[in-house]
Amino acid sequence: MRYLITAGLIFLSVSCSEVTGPDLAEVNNPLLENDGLFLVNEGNYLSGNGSLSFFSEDSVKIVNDLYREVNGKPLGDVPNYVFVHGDTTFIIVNNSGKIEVVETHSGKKIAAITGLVSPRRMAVSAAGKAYVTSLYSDNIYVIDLKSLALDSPIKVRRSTEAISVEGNWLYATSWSEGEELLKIDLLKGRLTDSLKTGYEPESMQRDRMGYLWILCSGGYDGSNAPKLERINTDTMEPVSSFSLPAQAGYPVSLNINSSGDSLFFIGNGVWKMCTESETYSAVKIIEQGTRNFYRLAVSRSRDILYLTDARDYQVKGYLLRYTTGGRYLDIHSTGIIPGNMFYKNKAGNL
Amino acid sequence: MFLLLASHYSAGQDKPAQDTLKLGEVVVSGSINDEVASIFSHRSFSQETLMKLQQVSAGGLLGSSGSIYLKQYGPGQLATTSYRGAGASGTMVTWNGIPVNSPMLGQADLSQFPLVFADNVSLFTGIASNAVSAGGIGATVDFSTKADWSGGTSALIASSVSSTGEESGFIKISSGTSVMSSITRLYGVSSSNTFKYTDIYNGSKPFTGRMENAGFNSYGILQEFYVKNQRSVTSAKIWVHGFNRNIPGSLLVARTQDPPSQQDFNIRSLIKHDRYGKNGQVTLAVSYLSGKISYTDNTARISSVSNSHSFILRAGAETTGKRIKTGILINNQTDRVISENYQGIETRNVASATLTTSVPLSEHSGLAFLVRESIHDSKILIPDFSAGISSTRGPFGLRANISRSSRIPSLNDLFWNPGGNPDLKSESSWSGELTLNGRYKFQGLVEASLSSSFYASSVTNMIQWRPATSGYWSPENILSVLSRGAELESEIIAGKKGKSLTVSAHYSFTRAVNNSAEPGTSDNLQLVYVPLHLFASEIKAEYGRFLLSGNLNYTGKRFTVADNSEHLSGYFLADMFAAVKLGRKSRTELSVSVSNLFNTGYETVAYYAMPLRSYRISLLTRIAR
Repeated sequence: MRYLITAGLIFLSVSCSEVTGPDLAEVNNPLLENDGLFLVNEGNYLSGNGSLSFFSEDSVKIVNDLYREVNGKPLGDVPNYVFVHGDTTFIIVNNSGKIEVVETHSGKKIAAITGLVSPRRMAVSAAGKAYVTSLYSDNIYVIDLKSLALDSPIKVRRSTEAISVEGNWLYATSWSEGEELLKIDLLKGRLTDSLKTGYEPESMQRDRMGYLWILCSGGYDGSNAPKLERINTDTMEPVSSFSLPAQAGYPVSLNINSSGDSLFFIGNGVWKMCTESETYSAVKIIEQGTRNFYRLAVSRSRDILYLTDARDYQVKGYLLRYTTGGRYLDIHSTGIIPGNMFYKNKAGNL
Repeated sequence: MFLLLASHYSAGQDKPAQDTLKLGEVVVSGSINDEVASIFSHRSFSQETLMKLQQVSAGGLLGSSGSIYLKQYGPGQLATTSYRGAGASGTMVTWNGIPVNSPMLGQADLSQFPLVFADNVSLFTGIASNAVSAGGIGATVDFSTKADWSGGTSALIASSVSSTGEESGFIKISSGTSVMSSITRLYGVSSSNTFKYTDIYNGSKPFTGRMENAGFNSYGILQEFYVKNQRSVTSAKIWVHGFNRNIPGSLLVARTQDPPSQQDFNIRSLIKHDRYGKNGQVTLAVSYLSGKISYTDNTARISSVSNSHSFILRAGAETTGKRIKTGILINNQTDRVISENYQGIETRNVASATLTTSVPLSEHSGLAFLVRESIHDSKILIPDFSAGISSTRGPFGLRANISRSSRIPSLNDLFWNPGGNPDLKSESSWSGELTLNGRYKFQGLVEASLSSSFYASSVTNMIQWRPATSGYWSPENILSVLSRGAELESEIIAGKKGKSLTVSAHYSFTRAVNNSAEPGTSDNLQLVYVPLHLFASEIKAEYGRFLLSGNLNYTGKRFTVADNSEHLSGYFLADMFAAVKLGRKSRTELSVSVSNLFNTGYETVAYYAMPLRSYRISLLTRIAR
């Protein structure tokens, strides 16, 4: 009996101490060469089940869990933004405080930029610098794209979210409990101007006339009215400010089509508005129904809207495609809480 | 042994003036609710087990029990239980019958309950849980202490060091007479918590690392006074406890020299008076609990302090007739929380009246009924209810009960800013349980026992936090859970005291599924972090001054995503324990323990490292005059 127990313990120790991980494969998925979108699935906070997907517009197929499949390890905790810059793609992993840098055409890891406090979104300048907003720090991080090293940050003394770089100017919104658009001179590396906006400016887009449109969500508790604002960034003055109707709920994810004349955003459905309009003229083109629309993107080469459905936030979500007129096309399974997307063409550039 | 009702009925009506009565192998505290809880108790951990694990937290005890799944974010980190599919807040933790779950969180962190502060730990379900406390829709775990009426003065001094950088010390001093008792316990632990772990998430090359910046320390004092006379027992207890820890985060979060940290400081006090008469007894109790949580995250620029205060008034009366025993217990709890995470000071009052009746059917069988009506502020809640039957025939016993229980939302659920939902309803549960057991003795040398329990429960309006459309998380009454399962427990003891071999095993099967999700999502799928299989076993040999024991526990696969698409693999853990008694009167005990003997890499929460093999040496000395 004693020997039997000993043998049993030895057997169990051998069988239980084995550590297994996914098999690494040299993945050069041909789909990644296509026009399409990278999509970050946020996963659940502190659960580490976020992931990276790629949807090929050419073959109308989605590849899920791309980063883990290629690199054999999880992406991190709450990946919330992806940015494609030529052959290099940057995946911002918010709660891991890092940016995973991968090859655009394979998803293979190049490097990880760490030491960031709650990084959120990213933009790149022609001078070879990347700028990253931060939820919990006073800084906008600066990354040298050649060395992938952190340069001295730009101190802005408030939390930042949406970001856009145009020439030597950087525009960022102060979102969490904020109501400002910040204008930063990249040559001087400092904040030069700011403009009070609606409450919690969540996303922004530049239209073909050169105006900057900002979608202000109004705060989680509805204490402030959500707004859509048109800004002249040369003068840093508002051109228009529209209060959104109650049926728009908590609006997020402002996007614009490739010709820069139609805005789209989520708000209990999907709304579309012409940028030339002098009055608020948004019309709902997609009903929410039973969907839980979470983020939106617009194809730069086709008239297609991409919408993510986070479902109950616990299970794998969906990527849905519609025409820019609101006609349903198809649906694809994603990871958990499919969030921000970034469109790339075959060359890897926007 | 399971028919204490009958024992009480035949024992007469004039109870001895004791705070704690020892009847057979079960310790009860006199009141009808305590008796019902003891009869239907699911599990009680022996004093010997508590002594063996004295340097371990309650989480360590329950997590290795084979019936409770312990979700632990690492040694010294938050540890909560999952039992029969009920979440962490579905397990009510009580201290001498007083609920000590945080009114803010609705749950208790079991890493902050060192076993040295308990003389008895019991697990209650169904009617027993309802009898002990309100709110334990899954189970109630009670940590209790008791008087020492043996007189004289004695002391117990213990200390230990471990290979993870932990040093702890404990002193217990008992003194008194046959009518007065004073017990003082002092405890302190400091740990750098530099344990080794396996990181399996490093691609094809898992590596062994050593945890850093995860240190913790804890200190506490528990002072108890008991006085008794012919007709009454009065006790006063106060427990002051502090717990400070770094929170290093998951393996997916970059390591930092300045991780978030948390300081907890709790004061728990209880004054109780029991008066016994010819026809019944009266109980009066008052308790004050306070908790302070300070959380600092320099990176996220968060520095928050929350203070909670709870006042509990309890009055009970019961009559003991020739056949039927009836008791009523009035309880009023007022919670007051001052937190930077609320928009203002939040208070609430929960008053309840519990009526309990036990009816003997024969010398060996009895019935018990319980109904509780609660008023949450001015809102009258649907009553809780239980009914149970117990019977023994020779070596066999049978217990069955059905229960409806409920849990009001925590104050964080209601008022957390942002996201709190003041419109939440109470969670409620219906459960049924059948337990069969038998015990045999062979020629006085071998004793074997076997117990099997089968249960089903349905929890509705279960509260779940999830991201709201605004980007913040918010709780909703969205989840319904159907849970079914079985638990088997066996023990064989061969030999006699001083020369014995004991083999015990405990297995539980838990099928807990989401009953409310939309089709195609997570409907009828196993809940996350609820393993189907849990198994615990122990073999223990005692020979004179020597004791050697080994544990082998298995935790089955646990899904980590609601659609069951990802999981943590099952794992075995083995521990060894050896002790020798030293000195002429064997009053000193030297012990060595090895945890995770086979160096298994495992996690109880995905991406949170748990220790590989570690060692501990302990020394314990008893001094008596």
